[in-house]
Amino acid sequence: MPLMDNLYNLAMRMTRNSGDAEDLVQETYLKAFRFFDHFQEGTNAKAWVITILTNTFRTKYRKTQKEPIQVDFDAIENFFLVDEFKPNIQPANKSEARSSDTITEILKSYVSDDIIKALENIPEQFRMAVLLSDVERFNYQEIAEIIGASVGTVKSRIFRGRKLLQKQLYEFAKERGIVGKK
Amino acid sequence: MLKCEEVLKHLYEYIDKQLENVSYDEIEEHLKLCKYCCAHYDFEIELRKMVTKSCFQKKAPDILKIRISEMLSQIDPESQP
Repeated sequence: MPLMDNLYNLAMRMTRNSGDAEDLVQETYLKAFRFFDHFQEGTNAKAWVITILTNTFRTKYRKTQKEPIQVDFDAIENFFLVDEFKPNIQPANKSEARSSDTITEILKSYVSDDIIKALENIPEQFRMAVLLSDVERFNYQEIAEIIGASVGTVKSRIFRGRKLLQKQLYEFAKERGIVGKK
Repeated sequence: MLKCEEVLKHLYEYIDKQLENVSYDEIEEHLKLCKYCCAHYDFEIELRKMVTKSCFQKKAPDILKIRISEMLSQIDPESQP
Protein backbone atom coordinates (compact mmCIF):
# COMPACT_ATOMS: atom_id res chain seq x y z
CA MET A 1 0.00 0.00 0.00
CA PRO A 2 1.53 3.29 -1.08
CA LEU A 3 2.32 5.99 1.49
CA MET A 4 1.43 3.69 4.39
CA ASP A 5 4.65 4.40 6.31
CA ASN A 6 4.37 8.16 5.72
CA LEU A 7 0.78 8.18 6.94
CA TYR A 8 1.54 6.00 9.94
CA ASN A 9 4.47 8.12 11.11
CA LEU A 10 2.52 11.33 10.62
CA ALA A 11 -0.45 9.86 12.50
CA MET A 12 1.87 8.73 15.32
CA ARG A 13 3.29 12.22 15.72
CA MET A 14 -0.14 13.85 15.67
CA THR A 15 -2.09 11.46 17.93
CA ARG A 16 0.96 10.59 20.07
CA ASN A 17 -0.16 7.00 20.59
CA SER A 18 -0.16 3.91 18.40
CA GLY A 19 -3.81 2.91 18.93
CA ASP A 20 -5.21 6.23 17.71
CA ALA A 21 -2.55 6.41 14.97
CA GLU A 22 -3.64 3.04 13.57
CA ASP A 23 -7.31 4.07 13.65
CA LEU A 24 -6.50 7.37 11.97
CA VAL A 25 -4.57 5.67 9.16
CA GLN A 26 -7.33 3.11 8.68
CA GLU A 27 -9.99 5.81 8.47
CA THR A 28 -7.84 7.79 6.03
CA TYR A 29 -7.53 4.81 3.67
CA LEU A 30 -11.24 4.10 3.91
CA LYS A 31 -12.13 7.71 3.03
CA ALA A 32 -9.56 7.84 0.23
CA PHE A 33 -11.03 4.66 -1.19
CA ARG A 34 -14.62 5.86 -0.92
CA PHE A 35 -13.98 9.32 -2.27
CA PHE A 36 -11.51 8.35 -4.94
CA ASP A 37 -13.76 9.83 -7.62
CA HIS A 38 -13.07 13.24 -6.03
CA PHE A 39 -9.38 12.89 -6.69
CA GLN A 40 -8.32 14.89 -9.72
CA GLU A 41 -5.98 12.94 -11.90
CA GLY A 42 -2.69 14.66 -12.52
CA THR A 43 -2.73 16.36 -9.11
CA ASN A 44 -0.57 15.34 -6.16
CA ALA A 45 -1.93 12.06 -4.75
CA LYS A 46 0.23 12.24 -1.64
CA ALA A 47 -1.03 15.74 -0.84
CA TRP A 48 -4.60 14.57 -1.40
CA VAL A 49 -4.32 11.62 0.99
CA ILE A 50 -2.51 13.68 3.62
CA THR A 51 -5.28 16.29 3.38
CA ILE A 52 -7.77 13.55 4.27
CA LEU A 53 -5.61 12.46 7.21
CA THR A 54 -5.24 16.05 8.43
CA ASN A 55 -8.98 16.76 8.26
CA THR A 56 -9.83 13.48 9.95
CA PHE A 57 -7.37 14.19 12.71
CA ARG A 58 -8.79 17.66 13.25
CA THR A 59 -12.42 16.61 13.41
CA LYS A 60 -11.95 13.40 15.33
CA TYR A 61 -8.91 13.53 17.55
CA ARG A 62 -8.04 17.11 18.27
CA LYS A 63 -10.88 17.71 20.70
CA THR A 64 -10.04 14.67 22.75
CA GLN A 65 -6.40 15.62 23.22
CA LYS A 66 -5.10 17.72 26.00
CA GLU A 67 -2.91 20.37 24.46
CA PRO A 68 0.57 20.76 25.89
CA ILE A 69 2.26 23.97 27.08
CA GLN A 70 1.00 27.39 26.19
CA VAL A 71 3.53 29.44 24.30
CA ASP A 72 4.94 32.90 24.63
CA PHE A 73 5.71 33.88 21.04
CA ASP A 74 7.68 37.01 21.88
CA ALA A 75 10.08 34.86 23.84
CA ILE A 76 10.78 32.48 20.97
CA GLU A 77 10.91 34.86 18.03
CA ASN A 78 14.65 35.39 18.46
CA PHE A 79 15.53 32.10 20.04
CA PHE A 80 18.39 30.23 18.39
CA LEU A 81 19.35 26.93 19.98
CA VAL A 82 22.80 27.10 18.39
CA ASP A 83 23.52 30.33 20.31
CA GLU A 84 22.51 28.88 23.66
CA PHE A 85 25.43 26.50 23.80
CA LYS A 86 27.75 29.46 24.06
CA PRO A 87 25.60 32.41 25.02
CA ASN A 88 28.25 35.09 24.66
CA ILE A 89 28.48 34.74 20.90
CA GLN A 90 26.99 37.77 19.20
CA PRO A 91 27.01 38.79 15.55
CA ALA A 92 29.81 41.24 16.30
CA ASN A 93 31.92 38.44 17.67
CA LYS A 94 32.17 36.36 14.55
CA SER A 95 35.61 34.92 15.17
CA GLU A 96 34.06 32.84 17.94
CA ALA A 97 31.37 31.43 15.71
CA ARG A 98 31.26 27.69 15.92
CA SER A 99 32.66 25.34 13.36
CA SER A 100 30.73 22.48 11.83
CA ASP A 101 32.44 20.16 14.34
CA THR A 102 30.85 22.06 17.20
CA ILE A 103 27.46 21.87 15.54
CA THR A 104 27.82 18.12 15.19
CA GLU A 105 28.80 17.97 18.87
CA ILE A 106 25.71 19.96 19.91
CA LEU A 107 23.37 17.76 17.92
CA LYS A 108 25.07 14.62 19.21
CA SER A 109 23.59 15.41 22.61
CA TYR A 110 20.18 14.51 21.17
CA VAL A 111 18.83 11.16 20.02
CA SER A 112 15.80 10.51 17.80
CA ASP A 113 13.54 10.02 20.81
CA ASP A 114 14.45 13.51 22.05
CA ILE A 115 13.44 15.03 18.73
CA ILE A 116 10.16 13.11 18.78
CA LYS A 117 9.43 14.06 22.38
CA ALA A 118 10.21 17.72 21.62
CA LEU A 119 7.94 17.65 18.57
CA GLU A 120 5.12 16.04 20.50
CA ASN A 121 5.37 18.75 23.15
CA ILE A 122 4.61 21.58 20.75
CA PRO A 123 1.00 22.60 20.03
CA GLU A 124 -0.75 20.65 17.32
CA GLN A 125 -1.10 23.34 14.63
CA PHE A 126 2.62 24.14 14.78
CA ARG A 127 3.60 20.49 14.93
CA MET A 128 1.53 19.72 11.85
CA ALA A 129 3.12 22.58 9.89
CA VAL A 130 6.66 21.47 10.81
CA LEU A 131 5.93 17.84 9.92
CA LEU A 132 4.43 18.71 6.54
CA SER A 133 7.46 20.85 5.75
CA ASP A 134 10.44 19.13 7.36
CA VAL A 135 9.30 15.52 7.05
CA GLU A 136 6.93 15.38 4.10
CA ARG A 137 8.76 18.19 2.30
CA PHE A 138 5.75 20.03 0.92
CA ASN A 139 6.23 23.67 -0.07
CA TYR A 140 4.32 26.54 1.60
CA GLN A 141 1.61 26.62 -1.08
CA GLU A 142 0.99 22.87 -0.84
CA ILE A 143 0.80 23.02 2.95
CA ALA A 144 -1.61 25.95 2.71
CA GLU A 145 -3.90 23.83 0.55
CA ILE A 146 -3.60 20.78 2.82
CA ILE A 147 -4.47 22.59 6.04
CA GLY A 148 -6.77 25.17 4.46
CA ALA A 149 -4.89 28.28 5.57
CA SER A 150 -3.10 31.16 3.85
CA VAL A 151 0.56 30.91 2.86
CA GLY A 152 1.31 33.63 5.41
CA THR A 153 -0.24 31.58 8.20
CA VAL A 154 1.63 28.48 7.05
CA LYS A 155 4.97 30.29 7.08
CA SER A 156 4.32 31.69 10.52
CA ARG A 157 3.38 28.26 11.88
CA ILE A 158 6.41 26.54 10.37
CA PHE A 159 8.83 29.19 11.64
CA ARG A 160 7.31 29.32 15.11
CA GLY A 161 7.04 25.54 15.20
CA ARG A 162 10.76 25.18 14.49
CA LYS A 163 11.57 27.72 17.19
CA LEU A 164 9.32 25.91 19.66
CA LEU A 165 11.10 22.67 18.81
CA GLN A 166 14.48 24.27 19.49
CA LYS A 167 13.19 25.70 22.75
CA GLN A 168 12.06 22.24 23.85
CA LEU A 169 15.44 20.77 22.94
CA TYR A 170 17.05 23.54 24.95
CA GLU A 171 14.92 22.62 27.96
CA PHE A 172 16.11 19.01 27.65
CA ALA A 173 19.73 20.18 27.55
CA LYS A 174 19.10 22.32 30.63
CA GLU A 175 17.52 19.41 32.53
CA ARG A 176 20.56 17.31 31.72
CA GLY A 177 22.96 20.02 32.78
CA ILE A 178 24.49 20.34 29.32
CA VAL A 179 23.79 24.06 29.24
CA GLY A 180 23.65 26.44 32.18
CA LYS A 181 20.46 27.69 33.75
CA LYS A 182 19.39 31.10 32.53
CA MET B 1 25.65 43.51 2.02
CA LEU B 2 22.76 42.25 4.12
CA LYS B 3 23.04 42.50 7.88
CA CYS B 4 23.12 39.36 10.03
CA GLU B 5 19.67 40.11 11.43
CA GLU B 6 18.23 40.27 7.92
CA VAL B 7 19.89 37.01 6.92
CA LEU B 8 18.61 35.24 10.04
CA LYS B 9 15.15 36.68 9.43
CA HIS B 10 15.04 35.15 5.95
CA LEU B 11 17.02 31.99 6.78
CA TYR B 12 14.04 29.63 6.91
CA GLU B 13 12.69 30.94 3.60
CA TYR B 14 16.15 30.45 2.13
CA ILE B 15 16.42 26.89 3.46
CA ASP B 16 12.90 26.10 2.22
CA LYS B 17 13.79 27.58 -1.20
CA GLN B 18 10.86 29.97 -0.89
CA LEU B 19 12.66 33.32 -0.58
CA GLU B 20 10.69 36.52 -0.95
CA ASN B 21 11.88 40.13 -0.87
CA VAL B 22 15.61 39.28 -0.87
CA SER B 23 17.57 37.37 -3.49
CA TYR B 24 19.36 34.04 -3.14
CA ASP B 25 22.58 35.75 -4.25
CA GLU B 26 22.34 38.28 -1.43
CA ILE B 27 21.95 35.54 1.19
CA GLU B 28 24.68 33.39 -0.33
CA GLU B 29 27.11 36.29 -0.53
CA HIS B 30 26.57 36.95 3.16
CA LEU B 31 26.85 33.27 4.15
CA LYS B 32 30.17 32.96 2.35
CA LEU B 33 31.65 35.77 4.39
CA CYS B 34 29.93 35.42 7.76
CA LYS B 35 30.82 32.49 10.01
CA TYR B 36 28.14 33.41 12.50
CA CYS B 37 25.27 33.15 10.03
CA CYS B 38 26.87 30.19 8.32
CA ALA B 39 26.84 28.33 11.64
CA HIS B 40 23.15 29.10 11.98
CA TYR B 41 22.56 27.82 8.47
CA ASP B 42 24.51 24.60 9.07
CA PHE B 43 22.76 24.03 12.37
CA GLU B 44 19.28 24.44 10.89
CA ILE B 45 20.11 22.08 8.03
CA GLU B 46 21.50 19.40 10.35
CA LEU B 47 18.61 19.72 12.79
CA ARG B 48 16.11 19.47 9.93
CA LYS B 49 17.81 16.27 8.77
CA MET B 50 17.48 14.87 12.30
CA VAL B 51 13.78 15.75 12.38
CA THR B 52 13.21 14.00 9.04
CA LYS B 53 15.14 10.92 10.14
CA SER B 54 13.52 10.71 13.57
CA CYS B 55 10.06 10.77 12.02
CA PHE B 56 10.77 7.93 9.63
CA GLN B 57 12.02 5.50 12.22
CA LYS B 58 9.06 3.19 12.19
CA LYS B 59 7.30 1.26 9.52
CA ALA B 60 3.55 0.81 9.71
CA PRO B 61 2.80 -2.45 11.57
CA ASP B 62 1.98 -5.44 9.35
CA ILE B 63 -1.18 -6.08 11.32
CA LEU B 64 -2.45 -2.63 10.30
CA LYS B 65 -1.71 -3.30 6.64
CA ILE B 66 -3.64 -6.57 6.85
CA ARG B 67 -6.54 -4.89 8.66
CA ILE B 68 -6.81 -2.18 6.00
CA SER B 69 -6.51 -4.63 3.07
CA GLU B 70 -9.29 -6.77 4.52
CA MET B 71 -11.45 -3.74 5.18
CA LEU B 72 -11.03 -2.41 1.65
CA SER B 73 -11.69 -5.81 0.07
CA GLN B 74 -14.96 -6.08 1.99
CA ILE B 75 -16.34 -2.88 0.54
CA ASP B 76 -18.95 -3.80 -2.02
CA PRO B 77 -17.59 -2.84 -5.44
CA GLU B 78 -21.18 -2.28 -6.65
CA SER B 79 -21.55 0.60 -4.24
CA GLN B 80 -18.51 2.33 -5.73
CA PRO B 81 -19.07 5.03 -8.33
